[in-house]
Amino acid sequence: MADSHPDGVVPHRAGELIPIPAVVGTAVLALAGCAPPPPPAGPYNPYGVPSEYEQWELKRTIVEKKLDRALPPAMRNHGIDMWIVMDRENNKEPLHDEVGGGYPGVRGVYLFFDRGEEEGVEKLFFGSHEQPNTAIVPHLFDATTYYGYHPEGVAPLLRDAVAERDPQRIGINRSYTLPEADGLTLGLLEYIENAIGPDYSSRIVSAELLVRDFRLHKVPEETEVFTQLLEWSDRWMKEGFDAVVPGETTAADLYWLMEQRARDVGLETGESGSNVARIVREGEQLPLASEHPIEPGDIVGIDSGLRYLGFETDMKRTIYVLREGETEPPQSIRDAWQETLGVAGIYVEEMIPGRTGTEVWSAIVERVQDRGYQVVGPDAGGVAVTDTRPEIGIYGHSVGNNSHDIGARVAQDFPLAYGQRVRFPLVEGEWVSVEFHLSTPIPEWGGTTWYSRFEENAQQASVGVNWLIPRQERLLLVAPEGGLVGPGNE
Amino acid sequence: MRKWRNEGFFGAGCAVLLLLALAGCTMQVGDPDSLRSAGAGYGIPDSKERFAIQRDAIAEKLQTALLPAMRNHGIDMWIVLDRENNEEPLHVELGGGFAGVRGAFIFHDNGSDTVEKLYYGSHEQPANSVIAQVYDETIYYGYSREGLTPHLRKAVEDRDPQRIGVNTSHTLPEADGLTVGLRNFLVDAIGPEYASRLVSAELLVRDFRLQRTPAETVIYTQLLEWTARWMEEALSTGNVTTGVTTAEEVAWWLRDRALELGLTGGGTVRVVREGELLPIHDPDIPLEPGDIVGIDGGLRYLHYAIDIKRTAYILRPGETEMPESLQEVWRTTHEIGDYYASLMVPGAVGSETWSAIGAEMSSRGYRAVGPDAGGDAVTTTEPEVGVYGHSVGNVAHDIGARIADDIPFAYGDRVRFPLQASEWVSIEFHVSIPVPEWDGKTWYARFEETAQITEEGVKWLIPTQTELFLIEPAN
Repeated sequence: MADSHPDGVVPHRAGELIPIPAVVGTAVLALAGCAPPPPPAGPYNPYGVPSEYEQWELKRTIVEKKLDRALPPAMRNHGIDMWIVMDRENNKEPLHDEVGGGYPGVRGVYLFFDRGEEEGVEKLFFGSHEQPNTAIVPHLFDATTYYGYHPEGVAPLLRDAVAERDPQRIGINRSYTLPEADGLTLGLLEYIENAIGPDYSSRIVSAELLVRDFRLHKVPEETEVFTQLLEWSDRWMKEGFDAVVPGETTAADLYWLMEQRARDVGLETGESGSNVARIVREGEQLPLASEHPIEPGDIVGIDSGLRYLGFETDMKRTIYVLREGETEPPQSIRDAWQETLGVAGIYVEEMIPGRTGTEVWSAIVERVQDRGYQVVGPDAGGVAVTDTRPEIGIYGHSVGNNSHDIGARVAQDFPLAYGQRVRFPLVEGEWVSVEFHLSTPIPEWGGTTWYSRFEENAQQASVGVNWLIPRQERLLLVAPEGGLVGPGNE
Repeated sequence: MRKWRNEGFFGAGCAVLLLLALAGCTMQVGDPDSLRSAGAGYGIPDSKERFAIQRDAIAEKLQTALLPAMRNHGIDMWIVLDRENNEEPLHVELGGGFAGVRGAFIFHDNGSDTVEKLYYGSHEQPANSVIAQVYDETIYYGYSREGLTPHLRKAVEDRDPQRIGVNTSHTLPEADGLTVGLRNFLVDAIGPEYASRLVSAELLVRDFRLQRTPAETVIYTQLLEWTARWMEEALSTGNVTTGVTTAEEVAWWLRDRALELGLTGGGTVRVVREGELLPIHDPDIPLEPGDIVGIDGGLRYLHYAIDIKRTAYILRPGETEMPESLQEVWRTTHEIGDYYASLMVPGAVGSETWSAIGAEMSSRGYRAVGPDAGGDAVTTTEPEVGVYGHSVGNVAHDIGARIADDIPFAYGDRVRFPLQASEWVSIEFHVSIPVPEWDGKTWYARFEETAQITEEGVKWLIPTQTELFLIEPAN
């Protein structure tokens, strides 16, 4: 392949890109007499994102701890003695990575069987292709069988594994309202039924609550990773705002800037598609990712998150763009943000383990109504109902492996909108997104409301929550000529 | 727009340029892009450019490939459902976006020359989304009490389709995206009469994917070029220190380098040492002179995936080229590749093609071996050929004809599919030939290259690897 030879490319070790000191050094050398540039050295890795190998080690540790600690109680609490997770290449199960990942090939089976308190949960993997040393499965599973491109495929292995263990209730990932627990396709359900026969097929049950409990049981190692990702998310959002030049940068520019920045630092943006800068201009919400330049006096919010190692954050950061001569936002705006924080305080006081999502929602509603807010209902994070009256919309949710995760949802009791999650109790230790909007009339805007948005990620405590990183206490400030200024942007 | 201030590297870049200008030198260090990402050297588009490229490719595909695929299989409405956190395999190809509570991509053949394209989702899709720019109708139903149901029902009732395709398939993973929960939801939403008109859309999915448009072939060819370059970097003297570097390290290097380039991807690195296939990615076995090192994998970009192989020989001290016996094996490998490629014509059925190659190889004195997961050869001393070619493109093993034995539970119904003009294929096989210097043990040589099927035969999308890369031994 001489045609594609990379002329002059010096292959870099992981992350070896040109750092600033090297560039400055080059310039000095240049001044000294046009010496050739020194070879690149040192990583371009401003966030300190671990290398692929280090990420694999972290992932393996987390999968191991989860299978050891979270899985047995999740199976026993729901009376499931065998859990079969099945997928195949090009059509990944939502839990694929969490139960061990790897390449499933023709059909991959992760089979878990509860042998009781003494012996614990047995872990079997069947796949067509050998899993290399760099996969997680060979390190954690009790037995692996690679059946190649066998004429009968995985069916005989599956049939024998089930018959030998004679499970009473076989959980599979099927759910009407929980996407994360509905990974089994129609084609694969038929395949399992054909493989294990009618008697065992009659023992198939939905594993949706097992999936929920498995995911919500957070081990310390994963909370550490998630907290790190929140820190990066906070930094990334501030860097995005710092790049805004009022009068020039549009909301769409900000969106693309942040997409590219995430890629450059070795991370991905969230899947929710809500990585969007919203401009509020004197009470009017401009269209999402619009081509309007950001102007002094605007309030701009980012609602987004980063993805890493199978985790995803979902949070907001908000700026006020100073007008010439201003050193802080108008008093009315500052008051509205303080009120937003006050309502957030009320919200988290009602976050008590054992309460269902809808109960928490109702409890918050009761208290904020007393403060004079009209409570608005179903909302996709979209448009406020009124633009002159005080209003609140509450849509808190579980967060972690996805932006809207499988735990309790703090919302109205609409399962076709929010899933059964609204009927789930909060669980101590799970990660939650505390999210709502508050519309406050602003006198300087002729009484039009500011639709302020709050979203922070936290871990559920025995009462209330522990914020995993500091929440945004004050509006970030962007100078009229651009750049973050003032407190809070460190 | 201000650039990233926190690292200050744009500022530093400008300072460098300024200083260089003062000093009167011309050096290629001042390009800000080269400071931001190594990917700039490959000319890989940034996020915004990628969006425009992808949007245009999707729009062209929906415009040209979908209607014939629907009509050829008598499907007048195709419904693709998914929801957040559980993505359908076709999600991105149809326009992507955030599915939210439940997302429906609905396509209706209304008799005109264009398919009607409807998108219903809970959340508003922003102006810079494919959905907003390509679809005819969008409805964002928010977190409403009934969710998607009334909109789905109305879309179906208003159009009264006769055959409603859904993505369910026993043997094709890419066409089996409908989950059990979503099938039940759909049946409840449209009622028993319309539910009785549901049919599998698996062949529609196949034809839609295999009809490659010019725009996507341009993207794919570029990705092949980047992949070949990335593999050659991995298997270069600068990247391999004999006696120190292991195959596992090369495998991790590939992944880290892909991230640096702003892409994803990786590969399996296999080592043949005097006829022995070493354990894959063993952390304790460094590469040594005389080894043959191969990478099998590729980069991914814009929902396309590459699957090719590149191979290197590590020179022994004093050698300047690969021993003649090994060169001869590689020439023979290419001759077999050429024969195989000559059979790859539109209409040729996967398993029949496999049998034909096997028969020819037997007549040439090779043992033709059967099902194989890309793993071990059957013997280590006899001439042997194993063929396992496949469709490639959106995923490594794609939905088109598979050149393999007629066993659908291994290879899917793909073994019974005919090749189609314009589809992309991976021509993949191994050939084992005894090497005298290795006491007659065979070199298990692996060949995998990507081609497009045309009426005039295959067209390699990038040049095949006719010479092994040569890696110098460490001193």
